[in-house]
Amino acid sequence: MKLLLSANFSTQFVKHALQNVSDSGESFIWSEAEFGSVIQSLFSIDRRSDITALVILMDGKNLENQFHSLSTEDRKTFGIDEAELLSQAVDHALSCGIQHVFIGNIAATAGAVHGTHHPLNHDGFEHHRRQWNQVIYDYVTRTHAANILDLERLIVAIGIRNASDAKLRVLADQPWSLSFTEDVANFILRVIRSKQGALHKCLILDLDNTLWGGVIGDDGVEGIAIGQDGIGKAFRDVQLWARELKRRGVILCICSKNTESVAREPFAIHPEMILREDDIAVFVANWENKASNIQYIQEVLNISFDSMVFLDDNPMERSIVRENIPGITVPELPENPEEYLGFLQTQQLFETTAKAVVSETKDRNRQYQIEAKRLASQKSAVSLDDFLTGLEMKAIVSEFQPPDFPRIEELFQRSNQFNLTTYRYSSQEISQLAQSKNHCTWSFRLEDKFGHHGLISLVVGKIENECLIIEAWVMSCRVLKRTMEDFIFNSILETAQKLDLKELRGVYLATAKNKLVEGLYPGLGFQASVDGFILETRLHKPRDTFILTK
Amino acid sequence: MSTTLERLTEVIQKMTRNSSVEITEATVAADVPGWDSLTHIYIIAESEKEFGIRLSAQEAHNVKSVGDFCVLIESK
Repeated sequence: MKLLLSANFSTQFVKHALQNVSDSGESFIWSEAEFGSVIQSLFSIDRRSDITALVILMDGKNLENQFHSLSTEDRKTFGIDEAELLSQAVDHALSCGIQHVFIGNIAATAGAVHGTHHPLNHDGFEHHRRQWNQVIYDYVTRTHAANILDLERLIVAIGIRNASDAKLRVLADQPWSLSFTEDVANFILRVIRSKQGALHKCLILDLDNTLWGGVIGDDGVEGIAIGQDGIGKAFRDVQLWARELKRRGVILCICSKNTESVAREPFAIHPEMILREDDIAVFVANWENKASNIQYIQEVLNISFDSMVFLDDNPMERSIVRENIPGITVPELPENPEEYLGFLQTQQLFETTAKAVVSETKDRNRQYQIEAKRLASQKSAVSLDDFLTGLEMKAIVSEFQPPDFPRIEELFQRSNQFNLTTYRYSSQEISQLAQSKNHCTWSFRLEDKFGHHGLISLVVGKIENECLIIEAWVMSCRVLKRTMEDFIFNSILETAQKLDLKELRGVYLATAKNKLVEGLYPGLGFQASVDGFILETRLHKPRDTFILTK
Repeated sequence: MSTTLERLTEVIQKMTRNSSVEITEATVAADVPGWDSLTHIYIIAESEKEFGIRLSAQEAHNVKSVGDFCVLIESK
């Protein structure tokens, strides 16, 4: 991935920091714009460029200096004009094939010559800074490939005095201190990785002294600290934070050493509790070790360990989990509960580049609760076949349809394990596919007697000569081992036969995460060949499945 | 106890990633591979840490030879 840095200051330190903090496994190539002006450097990009992504950084002080050199007349629409010019330059870069753009917002500067009413005065820079940010926010909202880097929040968190370095500004045209430059580099990488699908999807919480003060087994429901009084506020704030994450689509789970009925009691009856049992997807409270309980949670959710965050006040438990669960993130919580939230908020634990919550995301927690019930009923079913029959599964098959586009894009973005080729289609590509005469698209919804799973699988097929090439196939791991794959295969086969296509060709591109589907095509009867996995359509009948078409 | 020159030599070797380069009081940036204007800033920042001092922009700018640098550090 080749990235171009463009800024209204010298980018050599940022580039150096980005190179230092990248993992050796990441193939990022950072280059610096040749021109001092951001606008000029963006307009000089042409179609021959091999750049994948742009990172645009603006120093407020430098922009303020530019503003101060203007007459009153020229200042009037400065913020809007500058931001619109930048939007046009970014549009130009996007038209040259650049896929992602990351634009840093501008933090307030320290200067306030107009005194306390400086923010109100249109002859001062502050007004124009806010307008600049707003125009860029509007642009990013309507431009799929554009993203904000919320550097303002980073600067606010540590303060202008700590973020800037007067000496470096003088000597090297570098506005930020070396240590803050490293923070910025880490943040930029975190955002880019989340764009590439590296997301934390699940928050696993301990209970005693993490979600409330005290020990529920000893202190009882009336004895724990949670709510309006004293130290209870610190825990209330952590719970409010967790509940907001849940609203956004993060899965909440409990992992606690407690007797389950005792652990559940505050969720059910304590009036000051923010989190309720409904908010929790998987609730594990027992006396087994936490590493194996987290493995159980992983089985229910079917997401990878590196998408999980585990919070626990006990350093011992943290270290056991860290050592036994590869990939899981375990923050070193501060010792004092009143510092929990401030610490957690600066860790960028749940960074995401999603711009709006998709409605099905909101239902995800409920679907995991259903899955936990289902796992329990699987244990009691006589055989797997009986279990699957008893689920009364029905699937709805359709082509890609405009109302589904946001969910389709999200599913392509989030799927890592059941993902045969790991193409991340943009919304633009999705709508092109939907209209293409050379492509077939399928989206699958599944429901069963426990509830709706929503849109859980997508397939893209490309027609070439007399062959249907399966370009992409993703499926939510929540519906694994239900013969859904067989049902999907039947749909593909049926279409191919109807269109008189002689051959199906499956492609598997290995990544670090999709080993799960390495054997999918051979398992469905495809033969391995140099061009991928081949299946002659006339020789094949539909496969057995427990799923009916609705 | 190391001399100022020895400690500064280590800083320069570390920041230029060149542990064998010979440094004397007469050495100037141009003599040392990797001592460019970017590295100069990192050498200044690392020296401030190593010696627990703070240099002004003017001082950092005026340093021409390693000998100048040692005199400056010892004056702090």
